[in-house]
Amino acid sequence: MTDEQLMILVKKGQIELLGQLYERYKRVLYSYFIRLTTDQQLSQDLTQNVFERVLRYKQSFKDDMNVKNWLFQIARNVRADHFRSKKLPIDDEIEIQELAHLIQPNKVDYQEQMSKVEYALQLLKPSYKEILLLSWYEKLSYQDIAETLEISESNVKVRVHRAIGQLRTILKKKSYEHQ
Amino acid sequence: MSINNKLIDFVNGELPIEEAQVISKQLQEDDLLMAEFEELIQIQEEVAELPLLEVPSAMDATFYKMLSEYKPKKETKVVRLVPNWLKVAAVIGLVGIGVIIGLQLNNQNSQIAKVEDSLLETKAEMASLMAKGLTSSKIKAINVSLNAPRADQEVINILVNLLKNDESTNVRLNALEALLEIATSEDLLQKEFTEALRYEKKPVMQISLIHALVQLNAQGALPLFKDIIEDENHIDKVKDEARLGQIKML
Repeated sequence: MTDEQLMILVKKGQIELLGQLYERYKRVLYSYFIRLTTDQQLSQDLTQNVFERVLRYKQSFKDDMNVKNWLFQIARNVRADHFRSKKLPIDDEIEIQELAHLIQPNKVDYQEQMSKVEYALQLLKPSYKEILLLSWYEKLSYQDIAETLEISESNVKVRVHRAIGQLRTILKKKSYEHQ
Repeated sequence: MSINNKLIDFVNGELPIEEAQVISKQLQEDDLLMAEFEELIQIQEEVAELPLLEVPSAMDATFYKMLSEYKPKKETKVVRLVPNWLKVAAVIGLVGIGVIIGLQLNNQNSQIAKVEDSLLETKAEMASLMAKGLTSSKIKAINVSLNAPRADQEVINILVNLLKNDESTNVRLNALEALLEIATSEDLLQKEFTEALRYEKKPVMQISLIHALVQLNAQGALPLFKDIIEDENHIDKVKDEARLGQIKML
């Protein structure tokens, strides 16, 4: 059964089928959150929160929607609400230098196995990191990203260009440092 | 657009076919560009191959607990007087009309009192959250409104106000969904949603409002749908939804 068929049945009251969607997307969403926040407990809570909202707002899922895009839209709202409630900056207010403190070896286990690209990804501005994960990791089109982030497609394009430019600069700097 | 940015769009499969053909040709002729292309592809692959992380087992436990405890709101909040009447009627035959009528009236009164108490609690909680003025608090207040034991005009007025005036799209969207869930007067919803759509600027909200109006078969919104279709300021996706809405409501 496709994600969309499952979600339509959940909407019609077969709540137990949400378990199947959860199994399909729990690692996807958890990985998305942990790469954005680098906080294991928070990522766990945010992922849980996404599925709570899916259940609560199941009626707002329209039959012509794409489940993956919808989940990422919810995920983004969940994360934004969390940061707003804690009065933390979510987007470009954080400068790269300020992000350096997030890269602490003991913060989460997965950082121990970080590849060079993943490490560089962590040094990007949050909004660039987010857009790169949606584009290159989740393989969403510019149009889907625009709908998910509620920004224009041309804005997506600009952010993707800048994000990739910044990622390449960081990677070049890292390889230079290692020489 | 610079050649570097075009190359990125090319790698992402987002270039129009004609431009993609030009880039393909340039790649064959320009070694430096080809090197850059290969570097981009390599980084893209490395990002795409980042591992999916395992979730902690506690997360599964929390999710399945939530799922097993979930009860649809309507089942929990609706006060079902009729089944109680039937129960009472069955008892009537056994015990006696006078006694049972008394019991039933007491039961009704106590249920009404419970509903009113619960409504007061809901409103107090909403007021306290709204007073904080934060987007997250307003969303929490909207969620609390879903627990209201009956459709209350004061609660509905708050939601309508958020739908029409709040600056956060998330708040407006949540208010729309809550209104669809709890309001009982379709006339009121049709009127308020039409008005909200008239002034709404965000496409995601415009589309949600159009969907809601179609769901309510709001014939009164059809002239506005026509205006949207003819208005150059609206994006194509919104116009398409308005057109689809017109067809569905015919």
